[in-house]
Amino acid sequence: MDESETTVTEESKELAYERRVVAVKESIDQYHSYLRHYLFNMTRQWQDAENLLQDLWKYVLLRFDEDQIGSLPLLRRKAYQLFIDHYRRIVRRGEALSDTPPEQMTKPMMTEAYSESEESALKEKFWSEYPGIALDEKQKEVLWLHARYGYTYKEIEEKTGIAGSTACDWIAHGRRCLSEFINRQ
Amino acid sequence: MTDQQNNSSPDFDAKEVDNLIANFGVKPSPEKREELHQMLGAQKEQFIKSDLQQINDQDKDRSGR
Repeated sequence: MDESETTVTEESKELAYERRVVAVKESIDQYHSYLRHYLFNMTRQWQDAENLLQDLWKYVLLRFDEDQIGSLPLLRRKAYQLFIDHYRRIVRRGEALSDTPPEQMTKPMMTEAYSESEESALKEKFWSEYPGIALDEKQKEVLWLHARYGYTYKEIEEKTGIAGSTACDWIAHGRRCLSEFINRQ
Repeated sequence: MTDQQNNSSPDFDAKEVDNLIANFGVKPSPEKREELHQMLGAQKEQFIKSDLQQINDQDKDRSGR
């Protein structure tokens, strides 16, 4: 390889790197908060969860295929593997997870910081990640209201006119559909 | 810890859906975001070097044939 080829290769690698950084930043904005809770549920320590997430994003930037950087199932799988490595390390050191008092789980309700239009765009973006999912718009809306804002079945009934018992069924159905969709990916 | 004794992650459970929706698009704090962006920026040299090393190795392989 001569010098000019090396320069061209370096330039193309720099471009690839820049593209990957943009994709990872987008993925951080979408999934960091979810993955933080996912890891916290296993580590029971926020700091450990944050450290593992930092390792995860570094790994994603350097190793993931570019078109897989935003893939939730792959991110989740890698996060889990990093947790396992972390767990084995602390077992080797003779520490036990249960010996450390778990930190308090804080309620992740930061959604009020977003405007209505931002929330609407996020909702649209969320469902666009699951094309062809067997849920109609009303079912998606009911699940969103319940999971995102904590609306009760009764509140959903008051807000949308959909009977509470129907909302309950739709939420259970929606959870099932979504988890099956993600597990198929 | 039976699930945690191997590296295959457990299936995405229906119970996780609410957590996924509640947290979707919730950005980290500005300080955390900045810290993560800086960490990503610091990987540039490693990314380019490791890739170039791989290309150079492939080039050597080709020359050696």
